[in-house]
Amino acid sequence: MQRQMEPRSANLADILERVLDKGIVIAGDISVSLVDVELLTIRIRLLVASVDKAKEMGIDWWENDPMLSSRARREEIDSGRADSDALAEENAELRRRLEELEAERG
Amino acid sequence: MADGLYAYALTRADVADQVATTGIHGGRVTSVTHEGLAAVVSPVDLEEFGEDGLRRHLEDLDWVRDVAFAHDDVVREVARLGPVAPMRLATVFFGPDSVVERLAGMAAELTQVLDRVDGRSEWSVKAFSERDGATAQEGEGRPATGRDYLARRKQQAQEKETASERHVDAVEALHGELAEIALAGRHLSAQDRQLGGYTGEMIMNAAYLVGDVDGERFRGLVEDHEAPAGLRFTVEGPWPPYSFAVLEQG
Repeated sequence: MQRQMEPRSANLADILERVLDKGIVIAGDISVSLVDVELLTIRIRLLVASVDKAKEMGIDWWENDPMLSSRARREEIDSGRADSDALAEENAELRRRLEELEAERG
Repeated sequence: MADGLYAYALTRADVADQVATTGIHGGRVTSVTHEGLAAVVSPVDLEEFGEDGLRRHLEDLDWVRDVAFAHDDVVREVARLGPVAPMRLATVFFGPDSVVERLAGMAAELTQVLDRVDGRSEWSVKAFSERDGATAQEGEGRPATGRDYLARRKQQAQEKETASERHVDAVEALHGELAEIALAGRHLSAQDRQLGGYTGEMIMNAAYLVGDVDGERFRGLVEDHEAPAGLRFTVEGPWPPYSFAVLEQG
């Protein structure tokens, strides 16, 4: 069973938000988790997440009932509006922390 | 320094056997198998990919980008040949014994994950919202009074809110249509404007798991969907199922 895959997305954000944040996570022998690397973590969080209405959600499996998730999505969008202020604040805090860390590194 | 094994993806042994490609720094991609399952791997220098090396390199976005591209290239090659569970970046083992041990410990869950993505791919659908074109302000003269000015500002705010709701409704409507074909869906965070290379506001960043036979029909649904003024949809795929082949262990 062979099939065509689309060539790699030209958009770096598409690749990074998948290879850094999705996919299978199992313990390798080298024990550096991406969460440990503070500078990268902060940079990536700033790069792939911006203040917006869209919110991260878990996976919905609709093999049996697609309409279930459409209703849930409406609620998600409505509550997302309220969260954008919290995101703005977090964003500002992350940028401040990044400046701090970069100043320390000198 | 000694070599370790960098793991790109997990799949079935008979699929891994067909993979013939190169990975990070041109290393030859092979597989480590255990009872019908396999990890697709290539050798990497432990100086670069050991604990100290990784800590250093993960702070360098250029390095991360180059490794991410090589990683994704191998994942896509496996996806071309059969069901694939892509790994997250930077999983490195000292040798094949460790890999076999890990495969043995997760065999049942991994089999389930692979069954779930077999014959299916990930599609990305995004929506970009720009402010509607002409507002009431254009083409009118200066407000005659302070009250006129305030009335006009209020009207503009209401128009903006209405346009914004219209855009959200359109996203909701498209999502409902796509959910009829897709087997699963997931919303990702909005992307940074500079990194994502877009204008306007990204108000939808969704991933869908779609059967390969339905791919072109899925694409057509997005491309043919009428968007209100100031809103535009994009659709990309088929991609390997990063967002749906999800498993976390120890």
